[in-house]
Amino acid sequence: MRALLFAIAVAVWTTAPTAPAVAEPPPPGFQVIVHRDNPLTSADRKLIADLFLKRRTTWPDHEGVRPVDLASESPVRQRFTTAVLGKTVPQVRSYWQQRIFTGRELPPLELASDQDVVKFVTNNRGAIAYVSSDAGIGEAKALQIKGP
Amino acid sequence: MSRLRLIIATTVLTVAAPASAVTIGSDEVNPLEIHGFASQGWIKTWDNNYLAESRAERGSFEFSEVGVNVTKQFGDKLRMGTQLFARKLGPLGNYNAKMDWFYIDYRFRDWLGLRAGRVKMPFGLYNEINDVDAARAQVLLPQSVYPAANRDFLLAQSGGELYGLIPLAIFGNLEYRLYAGVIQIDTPANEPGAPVRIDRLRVPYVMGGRLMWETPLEGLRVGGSLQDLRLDTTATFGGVETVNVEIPAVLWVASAEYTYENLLLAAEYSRWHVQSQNSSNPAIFPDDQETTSERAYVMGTYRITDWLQPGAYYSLLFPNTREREGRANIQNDIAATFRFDITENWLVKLEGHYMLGTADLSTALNDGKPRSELKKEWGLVLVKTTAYF
Repeated sequence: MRALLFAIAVAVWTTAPTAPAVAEPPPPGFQVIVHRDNPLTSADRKLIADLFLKRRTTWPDHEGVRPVDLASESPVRQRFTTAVLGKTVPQVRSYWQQRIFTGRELPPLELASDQDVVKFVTNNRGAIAYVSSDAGIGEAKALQIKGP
Repeated sequence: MSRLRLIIATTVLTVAAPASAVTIGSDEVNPLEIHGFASQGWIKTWDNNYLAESRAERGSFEFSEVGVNVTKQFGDKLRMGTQLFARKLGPLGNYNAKMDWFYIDYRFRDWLGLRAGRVKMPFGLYNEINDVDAARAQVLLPQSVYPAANRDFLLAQSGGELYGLIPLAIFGNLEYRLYAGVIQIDTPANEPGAPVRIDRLRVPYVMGGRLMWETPLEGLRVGGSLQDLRLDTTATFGGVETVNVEIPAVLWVASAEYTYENLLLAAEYSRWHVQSQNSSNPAIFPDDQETTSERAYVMGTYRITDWLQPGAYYSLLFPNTREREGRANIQNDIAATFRFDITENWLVKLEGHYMLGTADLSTALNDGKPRSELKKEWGLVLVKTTAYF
């Protein structure tokens, strides 16, 4: 029993977080985009979160939803995930591990760059995605986010 | 040899796994996706064996899991998938690969979907992820509500399921799941010389459901699950008398979970009612025996950084609510866990348990000694590593 307590104490000591020496720059902003034929011009934050977590899979006009993520190390994804999904990227990864390995659902498609995302949204009627706030969105349409 | 293969598989997955699924096909929107995982654990206990021959000086490595699944979405509404799974947990599993689940899923609307096949059963908050190491902080979920040894009974059923998410406007969402089917169970390996030998197990029906209310307070969900099944057993007593008996059981659990930023808090309370009926030999296995067990836990985890998530829980089990006194009739379990995410595809967990009581111990694993003679106060340490993609 003493060995068990010692093992736990060692684990706590060796894993205590240290303060960063330099403050990290604030993550970049984002804009949510949809296909230009999507009738919505704005959406509640909660609805957008449900679409990205595939809890809702159809738009109000019954078109199928096709959410797209940036790669998990992208600072834009981190900002979007915290602000809209109300979770951290590791929490969302854990959510998808649950869904994948219980056979419930697959995570959104991941694309590498803003340009790839804009191209996908332009070509897919049901798409919804996010890109950095200063990215050109071409023929896609920016969606205004409502709600807390 | 099998363990060696599993360790090699873990290593290969760890080194070679891409950041996400392996995808096949030219369909950009809905490719065929392949995911997998491999886990290897080590269990060391003091004084009593638990789950495996864990009391040995070097502990036990009989704690392995490996799974691969394939999923394909067809259009917006139809999806199919299957997972092959093998495990070794002490005397259970023995690396025999099985179809863990397979399904055809058609979602008519967000509020109505239909699944058919062998599908995982929702029971409480976490039953479905009892063998998905990457999806939780703990090595062992609270064993009072999610016993790893009962995986074959509780994890999946062959039949159908209705499910959906019903928006309640300002009152949040209601998620429901209803299922019915049968459970295929392999006859367990019997210990040589055991006084009772299980010859056959069959679950002719299982039905149940889960209702989960996602409240307007973001991150808070509460709900309840109910499961009704019957276990038909053929057993031989003393090597001579064979008895057939039906064991109907009703299980329920009340659940609450709250997540706020990196904090997760959860609590569940459960009762399992088990009876016996239609015994072919009531003199040996009497009819109308009734037992109600009580199970509960409280749990918390907090993600400090992307790579570190500690957690703790207290779990309590009374196998028979009519007998709460004595070490054999209670199991207290206080656990502390550290999850280290080394990379996006590889994690290591370290977990310690302080145990008081012997109710959750197997007599077969402990030299046939009755639980009342096993050490009341004992400890458990687990280390587990999992690679996944």
